[in-house]
Amino acid sequence: MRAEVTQAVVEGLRTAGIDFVSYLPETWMHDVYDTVLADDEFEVVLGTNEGECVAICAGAWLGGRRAVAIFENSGLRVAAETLARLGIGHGIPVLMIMPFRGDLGDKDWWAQPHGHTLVPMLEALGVRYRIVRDAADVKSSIVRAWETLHSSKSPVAVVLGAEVCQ
Amino acid sequence: MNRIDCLRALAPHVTDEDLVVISLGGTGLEWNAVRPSDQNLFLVAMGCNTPVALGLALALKHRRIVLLETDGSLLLTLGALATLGNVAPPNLRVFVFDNQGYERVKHDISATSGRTDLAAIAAGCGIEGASTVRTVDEFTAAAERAMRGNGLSFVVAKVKPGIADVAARPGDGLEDKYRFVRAVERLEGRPILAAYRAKLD
Repeated sequence: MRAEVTQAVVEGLRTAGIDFVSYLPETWMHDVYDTVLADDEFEVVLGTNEGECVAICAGAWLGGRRAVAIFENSGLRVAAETLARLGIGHGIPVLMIMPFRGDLGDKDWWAQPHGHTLVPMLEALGVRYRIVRDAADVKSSIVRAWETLHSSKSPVAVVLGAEVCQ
Repeated sequence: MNRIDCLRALAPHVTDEDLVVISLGGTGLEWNAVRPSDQNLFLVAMGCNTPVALGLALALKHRRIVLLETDGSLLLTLGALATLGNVAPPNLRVFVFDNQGYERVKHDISATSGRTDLAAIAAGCGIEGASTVRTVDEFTAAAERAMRGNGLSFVVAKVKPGIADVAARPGDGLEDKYRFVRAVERLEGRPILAAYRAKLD
């Protein structure tokens, strides 16, 4: 990920008042993980699966803390049950940021299932989302996502397209 | 050992300053009968209770969080114990009511009716002092120790199947969420649900 995009992600989190990150690592957003882990302003919790990351952030929201779950878009499938139960069943919102693995131009064959399933999964789970195609929109998308989370009480995802991540 | 007797033993140690996260099924019904409060978060979300309680504990580090977990829910998210062991929030008290089955759906065995030992798994995840109790006296002592202590605790209570004759709980997940968050707002003296406007620059 280019340095300016990493910076835009982190600035977006700061501007939205987010200081808590639960994550699972992946390749395209590697620099974001390194940046927030090295920054004392963020409390960062490594989860063991993406559903757990989402639930940790949901708990943080209930306590009034602004949190984000960051993981590969494959994790959306893992987190589906948590998002359905907490998001639809209880109306507890969570912000997620994920790269669009399997996006047009992704050269890895194993990422293709992530491309196929991303949008249908987001829509089936009632997740409000934006696929960001321009690095200049990264920061504002994160801030707007938090505003939508707050007003809708829905899970919200900011998906960073391949041209933004690479 | 009946679960409701454990809950009655625990209740005097829970104060009006605490927040309680409760797993679904009979545990929630009985806790609601024993200690009704808007500071109870009733979740109908198998596998979500432990990580939600962890997130809440990290959001409100000055406040004690009590988690009433169940074997079926915890078995769905055993990885959460690894995270709990590593983060070890000192303000979280975990009680797992292990009836060794999926009672609510009338299935009388879970993995813990076999060889699975949740306290041993918790200990293996680095949760210090994780223990199993089998009598009300043992539970009472363990609860007192946990609630008077200053660190993360993890007590597995082996309880008999069966739900006490208590009233049903009205409402739904959305109402439960709002009641709980409003209670947190009152406790903390600050808004959570109030209008929010970010400044882009």
